[in-house]
Amino acid sequence: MGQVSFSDQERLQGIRRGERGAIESLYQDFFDRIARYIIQNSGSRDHAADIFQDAMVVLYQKAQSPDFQLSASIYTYLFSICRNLWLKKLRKSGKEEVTNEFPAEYTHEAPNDAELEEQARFQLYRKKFRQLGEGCQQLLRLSLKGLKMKEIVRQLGLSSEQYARKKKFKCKEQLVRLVQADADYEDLRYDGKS
Amino acid sequence: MKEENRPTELQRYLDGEMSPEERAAFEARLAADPELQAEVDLHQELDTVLADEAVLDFSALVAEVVGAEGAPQAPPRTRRPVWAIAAAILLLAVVGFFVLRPGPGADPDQLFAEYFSPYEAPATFRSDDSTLNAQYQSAFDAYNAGDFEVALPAFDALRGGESTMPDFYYALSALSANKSDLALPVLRELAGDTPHVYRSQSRWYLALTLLERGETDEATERLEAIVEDGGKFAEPAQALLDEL
Repeated sequence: MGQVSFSDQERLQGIRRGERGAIESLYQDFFDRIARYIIQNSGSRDHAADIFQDAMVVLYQKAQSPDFQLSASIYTYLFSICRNLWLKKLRKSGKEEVTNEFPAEYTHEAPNDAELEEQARFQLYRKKFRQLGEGCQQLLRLSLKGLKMKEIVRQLGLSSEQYARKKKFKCKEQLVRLVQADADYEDLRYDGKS
Repeated sequence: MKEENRPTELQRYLDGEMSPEERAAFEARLAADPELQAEVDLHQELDTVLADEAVLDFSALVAEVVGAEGAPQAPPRTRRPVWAIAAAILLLAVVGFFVLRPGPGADPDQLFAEYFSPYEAPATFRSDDSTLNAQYQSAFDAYNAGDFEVALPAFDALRGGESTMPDFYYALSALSANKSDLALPVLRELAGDTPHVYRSQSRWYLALTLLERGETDEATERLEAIVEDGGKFAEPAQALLDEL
């Protein structure tokens, strides 16, 4: 298990604060290695880009906890989340990891199936949200912040509260349709029993 | 209310606008219709997930970084007006007529202006230390507003800790405020061999600082090293070298 270096701690702090520099540094240093593993295991570079993004968000959320500490290098932790996410996807498509042994860089402390299942679904929601038009994104953001319709109408220059309410619901419906139409949604869908 | 603005049943249920009787009737329908129930669940889960703006913003930032894969953008070029181009051609022709010797290459100052843009800064800053939080936030607010004369001392006051972030943004503020003499020693330090989050960025901005100060030979060496190392800044560095 690798030692946590000063640089890892700084990267982790950067991720915790949502700094672009920290994201770029992890991407530049580690993405190719993670992509190589995914490509060796029936995936593509595009799959790797998706998995990497999901894993970064998991890392960000973990890093928000004051108790969170890296017990391995940040690469090992990130790689392990990516591997767990990818294996989950492979299993759902009826495939298996090519190598049965754990890769040299792996920590069992990385989040596993149940937690990642939920995170992958939530990431799908965020991705689909970004596909909405700018107007819908703004309206939903303000609404979810808890702003009163009157204030939303004022900020966005809409014609009336009734119109704003209707538009908000239309935007939500559009988002629901985008999520439901995604090929991964059925696999990620929460069935209310687990 | 216009007919098309009238809320649907589902909307009224989700917004909590039904009377107790209507609500009971709707919930009885939900119990008998798993698809409708799934849709309501999805609406409610979306509300919960998207309400966390910090994660939403972080996720968008990661997508932006990963989406730019293989296509590092050269900094935006300043568009020169047609008359300026025409004047430049005329000047070149006149100079070329009288002094027939190889041209000196592009003007480093002009290249600096074309390639330099302040590095993106976070819009919000969070840490466990509320005092530090406020200090960082006001520094970033000034930086993001383009008020680099204010950002400069604000980041300076934050320097000296473990993080290289205030040093980096101090140097960038100095560079943006046309104070490359302040930026240069800090960027030299940050561009050294010690790995940290802002190292590759610092190497790029150091090359630009050297260019701005007319130290073209060292700037060229630094740019060549960036190209050799690969990564996000390799492409703009190569483009800048070509122009040099």
